[in-house]
Amino acid sequence: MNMASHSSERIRWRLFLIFVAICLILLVLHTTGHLSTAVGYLQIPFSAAQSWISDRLGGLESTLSIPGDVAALQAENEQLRMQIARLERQNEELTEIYAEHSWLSSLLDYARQTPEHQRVAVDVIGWDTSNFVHRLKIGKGELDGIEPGMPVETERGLVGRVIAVSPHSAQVQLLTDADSSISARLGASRADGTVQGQLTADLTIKWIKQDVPVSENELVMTSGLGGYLPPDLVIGRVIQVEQSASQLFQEARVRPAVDFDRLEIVLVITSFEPANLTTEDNSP
Amino acid sequence: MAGERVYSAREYATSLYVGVPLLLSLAFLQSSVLPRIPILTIVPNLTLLTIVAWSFQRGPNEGMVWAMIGGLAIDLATGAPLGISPPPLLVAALIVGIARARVFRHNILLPALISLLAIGLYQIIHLALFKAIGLPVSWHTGIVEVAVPSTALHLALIPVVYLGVSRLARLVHGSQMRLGR
Repeated sequence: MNMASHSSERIRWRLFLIFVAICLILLVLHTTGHLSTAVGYLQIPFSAAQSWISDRLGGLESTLSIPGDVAALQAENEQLRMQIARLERQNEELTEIYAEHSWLSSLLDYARQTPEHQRVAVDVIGWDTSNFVHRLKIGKGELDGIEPGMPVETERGLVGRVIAVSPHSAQVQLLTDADSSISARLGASRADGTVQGQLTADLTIKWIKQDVPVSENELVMTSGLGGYLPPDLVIGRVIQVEQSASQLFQEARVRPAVDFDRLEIVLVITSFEPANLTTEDNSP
Repeated sequence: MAGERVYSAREYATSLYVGVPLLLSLAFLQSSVLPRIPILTIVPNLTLLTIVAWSFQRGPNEGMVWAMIGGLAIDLATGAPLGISPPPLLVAALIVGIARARVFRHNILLPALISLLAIGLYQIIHLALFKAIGLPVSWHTGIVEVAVPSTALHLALIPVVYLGVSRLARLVHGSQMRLGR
């Protein structure tokens, strides 16, 4: 009995060590890019199944939300009325700002004159299951012309960037991912900063010079600096400015323009090629 | 130490026939449905809960095989780096499986503590692996803002999942060990 127990424990630990070793080998091969093709093809049936589930998800989602909707309808209605009043006031303020800053208007006109980006509409078919990362999976990949680095947006604003592709799907890193860092510009003050994601799915714009007046509700857009994203894609609005005399820079919390919990279809900008900043040594 | 029942190869195979489709379905559910209905901003990990519950029922060896399959299925379904999800699941299955044989027959509270330990360690190892591949988050933020609330939520959900998995195990393998006896 004792021998059987010892033997059973040996088997258990061997099994554990073998599995962990396999995982570590897979992880190293995957992160070094040696498994990309194989994983891409393994993901094909998964992506197909996820597309099928995603197509049928709308009905399920509304069914699941019915009890909460009934209970919350009145309160939500009241909140919406207040929101409309607030938005009307904000609209008036923005109209004033618009009139005062004619140069901003001319810049916007210039932005309108620039050629439209080419976009591909893609279904969201999956989400990362870990609470430590904020990434999603879309239903088109390398064979559909999707490439790493392409910006992803909706009609409301920037969603994130494609970070990995397989033949029929791609992984998108959301703005809110803790590893996401994007060069940004404030709409009115034109100050540059960096929008960074957080574990808590919040957005923060950092590295804004102390002497720049940043106001709440100010628009935050991509600046295009670094060449990783096109300029003037809407990121969100400033909701809270954090300024301290002891700091060299100020920062602000940003409310994303996109509701990441309700993403069903996104647009991938396929005409944008991210700058390749890899330095080449041309010295003789 | 309470002796642990040794299962036959046929029993292992039966578990595998049940486990593979179940874990694949959970991976799809986990990646496509659950993120749209988070509980208090935390997305419950049904794969983790099912593996912990199955390890309670069937021991560490089956738990670890399920952890390996479930983890790889999640990685393939989400596009996460292949091999990042199984190790924390393996540790959770191992802890639960080992402790199960030693304490369950004597105490009803210890399973809860073991679940806490297994799920907590799962969160910490998962965070460590993400940090190892370059996620720029501090230990403090990761633990306080994600691991602790996530562990609390999963601890609250484990009894429900345990009941479901317990029924499944009884259906597949006949009568099983019960908590507190």
